[in-house]
Amino acid sequence: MDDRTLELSLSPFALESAAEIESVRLLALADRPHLVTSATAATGGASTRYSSTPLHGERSSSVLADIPQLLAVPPRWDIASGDRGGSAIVYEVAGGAMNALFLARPSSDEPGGEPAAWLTAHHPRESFGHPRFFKGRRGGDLALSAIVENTRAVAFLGPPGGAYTPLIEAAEALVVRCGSGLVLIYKRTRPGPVRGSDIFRGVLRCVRLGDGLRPRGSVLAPFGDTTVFELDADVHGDEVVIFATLEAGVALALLRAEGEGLAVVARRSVRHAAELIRPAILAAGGELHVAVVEAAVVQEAERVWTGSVTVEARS
Amino acid sequence: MADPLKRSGAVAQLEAAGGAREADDDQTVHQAKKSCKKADPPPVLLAVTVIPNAANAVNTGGKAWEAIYHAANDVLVQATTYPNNNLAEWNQIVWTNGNLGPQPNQRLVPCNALVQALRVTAALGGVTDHVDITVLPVLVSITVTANALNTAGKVWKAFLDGGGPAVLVQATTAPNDNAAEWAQITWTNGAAVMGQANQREVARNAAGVVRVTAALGGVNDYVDVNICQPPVLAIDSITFTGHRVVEQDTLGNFAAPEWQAAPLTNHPVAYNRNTAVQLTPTFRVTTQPTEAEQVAVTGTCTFGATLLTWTGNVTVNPGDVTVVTGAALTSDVALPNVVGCYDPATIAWTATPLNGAVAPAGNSAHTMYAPLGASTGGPDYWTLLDVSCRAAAGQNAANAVVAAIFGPFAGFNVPRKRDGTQLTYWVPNNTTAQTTAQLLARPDGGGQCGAWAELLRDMCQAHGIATVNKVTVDVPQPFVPYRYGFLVKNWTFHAPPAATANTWTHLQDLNRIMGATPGWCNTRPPYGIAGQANANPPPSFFNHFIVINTATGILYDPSYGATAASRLLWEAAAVDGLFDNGMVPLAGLSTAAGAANLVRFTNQATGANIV
Repeated sequence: MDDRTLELSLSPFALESAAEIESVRLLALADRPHLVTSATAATGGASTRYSSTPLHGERSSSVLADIPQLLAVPPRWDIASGDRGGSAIVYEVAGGAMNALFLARPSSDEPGGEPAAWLTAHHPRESFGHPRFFKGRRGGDLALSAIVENTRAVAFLGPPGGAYTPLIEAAEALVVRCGSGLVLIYKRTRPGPVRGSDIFRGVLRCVRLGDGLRPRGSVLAPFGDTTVFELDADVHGDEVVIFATLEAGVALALLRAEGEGLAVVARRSVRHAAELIRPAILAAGGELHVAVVEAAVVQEAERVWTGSVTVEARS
Repeated sequence: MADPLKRSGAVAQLEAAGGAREADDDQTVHQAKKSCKKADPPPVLLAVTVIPNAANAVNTGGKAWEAIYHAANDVLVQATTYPNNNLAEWNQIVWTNGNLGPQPNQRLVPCNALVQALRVTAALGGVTDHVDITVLPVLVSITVTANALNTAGKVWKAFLDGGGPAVLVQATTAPNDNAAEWAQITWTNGAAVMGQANQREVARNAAGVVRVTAALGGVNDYVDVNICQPPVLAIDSITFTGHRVVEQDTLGNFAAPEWQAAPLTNHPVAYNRNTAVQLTPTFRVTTQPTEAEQVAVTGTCTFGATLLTWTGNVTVNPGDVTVVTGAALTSDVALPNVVGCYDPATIAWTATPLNGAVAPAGNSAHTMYAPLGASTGGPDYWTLLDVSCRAAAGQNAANAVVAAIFGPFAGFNVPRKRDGTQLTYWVPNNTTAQTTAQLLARPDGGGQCGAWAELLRDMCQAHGIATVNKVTVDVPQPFVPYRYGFLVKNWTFHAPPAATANTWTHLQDLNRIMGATPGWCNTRPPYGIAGQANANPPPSFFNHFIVINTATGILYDPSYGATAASRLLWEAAAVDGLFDNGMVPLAGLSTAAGAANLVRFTNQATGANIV
């Protein structure tokens, strides 16, 4: 265990209107890593704007989509590269009582994109949230996971509107393709003050998924019982790299499949003075990029932080 | 050896009686003896004295003798006669006082009655002699008669109590045990008791052993009075057991001990109604005892009209700082058989050392909830128990409890217990809370209808009421969810349209810019119907959560504090029409124009439509 080292350095990533940012993801667009942000405005009817900004080079933002919302609730969402060079956004639609998940392809060849597809139409009386595309995707595969009724992780594997496959009890979850298998990374909540308005604290767990997406092998706790708030992950070679926000800072863990289970290859935590939210990680071009947001707006130019991760063999 | 007659003076008496005329030298005595042998002279008394025996009479000088009272003893007085000191002579002795003795030359003075210088006189041959016998009273015993406990033999124990009555030591004398005898007692230690010379008192104002001694008639006796410092206890902490652990509104369970004196801590606890309350008290020893003491501890508290009592024992040793009952104490009776909120439930504690006085041991004030029954839901969040138990206090039937619990919802007064934050409906207007936990966790306390529906349901489940279910309200076929929804009152339809399905005759005009355009609708002051701590919640939804009590069929809308006896009544009170959330927001099917059955109701727990 821990036969390699992880190094991480974070620096401010100045963005206009950073104070309005609700969430961020990292996405490779045109083979370049981009920071994708969301902000919901309630004036003149609620709408959520998704914008992208390249991590490197000229820092010019472009709007990916403006998606109207009936209510001003900031949607939880995820973004993935589309199969035609564009992107796909899965997002929550707040209905007042329940949330549905919709899939939009704002950058398709169609002007204005295709009409959004109601992903959860097969389950109209259940509420969905925290949609996450599978990481380590193949081609245009838009398989994703979500949390239903705030308690259970499920996976949508087929076309929009189909039934889901139950995964596990969790408050947040993400599926990563690792080699020929799938790894489920999930958070179980624990009592304590929330971060921001609604981010429950919890503990992180990982398990491999077998036939029918059923957990198999032993469950791994990559950070032990350390309190974790949010998580992201990606595939780095044959390994899974997890990026999570902690009580004070962030943490990284590198996992690999080992027998029926998983093993921690390396771990690293980095302290940060301010409380952090919305961790994002992207493996692209052989590099690992991360982004994270300070929960409170102190200085707008220093609200978003980005960095890169170096993986080296332990000397 | 010298002739005893010469020294006794009996010779002079003999001469006085004419038996010897020359008795002033040895020759004369010798001749007298010779002549007696020949012809005994008349007998004369030589002496009277006291003979040692069980009475143990003591010569106190000259002819005075003292003996002590004894029921069976006699002082033995004996006379000696001359010349033969034999029976013949003794029979001639004339005795005064005393009783017949074993021999005629002996007299007995009984010791079973007091006498003062009883002169026992013997006379013979003109010679008289006497002894003066005094029989003195005697100490029988001393003992403690009040305010102390005999712990062993002559050891008596009393607790320090400067203001309390003294330990009373009392002597018994014989034969009369009266003031005359008592006056002769010699006491050591203790203080005199006015008018009671047979008593001494030992004040309880200093710890230590006081030996009180009495002496009379040569008899000594004592008691050791051990004045002990009793332990003084004060309730220090209490750990409850067998209770429902209360959760701090998503911050975690309240930990034991649930009550502490310092820093003052009062963690709420819950016991189902009609159950006994178990607790383990720990006491601080504010004054340590001088020796190990058994102390009975008692707590009493009134719940409604029911008095619950906890009793137990602790052993307090001289070095103890705290003491705890060995096992949990169970109340003697159960809580009242109704829902209750006892805040505060003040337990008055007392500590009573064995054979000591009852002493207060402080109060502990608790927040105690008594739900209707065992929970059928999730965590016992503090707010669930506090709001519901206060509202339903005194109720003992499920449907009545549900109705009572809804009271605070109807009154828009549902604060989060842990910090007093008023829970709100859609404040802020971007709240994400859809569950009880999320509502209670958010710092702002704002939640959507799902959170409010769960809050009411979970309150009922905390009482074991499983008939309260969430109900989904949304648009029926052919309207597509998440495109079509319903308009929550109050909307103004300019020129109300006919109530025809799929008739979208109006433009939504939330920004009120279409005033001159026919066929618009907007909200109007006073805006929407008020929700929880929100005068103007969002005006339209794709879906909504309310609650039904399937046992009564009553619909509860906790978000708006409203109830309805049927779905149509709910719809009429809450919905103004439907909307189409397409590219151009449209509205229609005004209920004011007669549209009805615009929304459907589905019991989320059963999946059944409510018709």
